[in-house]
Amino acid sequence: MSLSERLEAEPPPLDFLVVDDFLKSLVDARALKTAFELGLIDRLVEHRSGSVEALGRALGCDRQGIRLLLDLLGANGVVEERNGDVRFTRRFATALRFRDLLEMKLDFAGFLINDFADLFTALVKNPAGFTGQARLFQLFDYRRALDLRFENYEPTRAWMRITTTLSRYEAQAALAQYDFGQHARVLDVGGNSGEFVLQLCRRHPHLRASVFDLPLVCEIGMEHILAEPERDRIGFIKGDVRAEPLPEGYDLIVFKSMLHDWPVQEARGFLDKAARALKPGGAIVVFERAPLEIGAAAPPMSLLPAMLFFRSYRPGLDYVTHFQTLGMMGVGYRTVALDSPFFLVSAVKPGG
Amino acid sequence: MDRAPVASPARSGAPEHLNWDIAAVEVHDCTLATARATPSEIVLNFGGRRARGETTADVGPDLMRRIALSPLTARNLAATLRRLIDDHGGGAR
Repeated sequence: MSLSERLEAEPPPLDFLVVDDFLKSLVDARALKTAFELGLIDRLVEHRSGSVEALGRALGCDRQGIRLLLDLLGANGVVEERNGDVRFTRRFATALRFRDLLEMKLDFAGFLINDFADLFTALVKNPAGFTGQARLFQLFDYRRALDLRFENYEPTRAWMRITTTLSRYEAQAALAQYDFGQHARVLDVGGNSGEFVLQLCRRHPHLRASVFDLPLVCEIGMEHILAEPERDRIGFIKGDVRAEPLPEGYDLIVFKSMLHDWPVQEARGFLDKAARALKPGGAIVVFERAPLEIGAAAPPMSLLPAMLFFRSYRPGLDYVTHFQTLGMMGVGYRTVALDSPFFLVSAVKPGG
Repeated sequence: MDRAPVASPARSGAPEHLNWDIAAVEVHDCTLATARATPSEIVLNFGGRRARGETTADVGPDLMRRIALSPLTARNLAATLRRLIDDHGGGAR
């Protein structure tokens, strides 16, 4: 099988985690980003291999520059050299099947490196100070998404690109943990570009879905799915869950990587609204990142964004308890190991 | 969503001194447009919105046309659009 055929083949679920193998340290990540920026990755995709000299010429690098870059990429397992010929390792060729995820993680971690370098003391000791200064929270400024002015599109697209790419892959884990096919109409609260429900609808051809999110997010979401075959089964409802009730008529309401953005009381209030709006016999599903578990080794560079967000993640058992308080039935709790722990909590509304 | 043959030169964008046969042309009022690129072409998707489900608040995209442009044609179109928007404004929305 040629490399291009391998790149196009349908990957098995969760194979995408391989991308993190190449994002362990700042040096690894920076060298890989440079390989993308210089066009080295594209050239090796196209030509499969090349000599050091030919690659240096093609990329406009002197011999010392290309040698340093290739040595760093070799140490990271991105490329290997045989008889002076440079090519991808088999494992990196696998990682390139998830190029959108790989490049997004490179960009996101790189964007936040100064927050970590300059503000980590504030993150530990002065969370409010960190929030006020960090680029992380300037990027995720949801206030812009309330206003459809032209100048708000690009800043909103910037963070939606991140959440969309993550949802594309994290949805595979959710699909493996829960039978979404037992439902007919799903409402995704804070559903962003619609990518999560797009994955659900792609897997389950009978499923219809609505995204409930801020106005500009819905506008960009409609663009996102415009060319997708599942577009006819996906709609967008503009609203603000803090101020409005949730629409009724759905037998599944999903909160995917949404509740952690809000203080616990507000998050519980959103679940209360969902329980009221949900059809009797329907279910609520919460799927999101659990608190980081730092073991014997320091987290890799790829987890830098999650580490900077670390105060936001709460245990899934908090939601289990709240669903029980609401009188929901059949409360389920599952964990799944992605680049860090995730959980999926589900609960059924009595009746129906 | 509007989708009807038209004969108005002004509406078609044709200069007054030209007599273009636009009898079979369809005009769409698009409120959504996206583009993606490959090395050989730029693909434009044009669409509008259509109500989904039971509530009018639930709106989804409707794909009207997909057009593939050569990179050179796309560059020319981009420059034309930029000039038109600069010359004639174009609201913030």
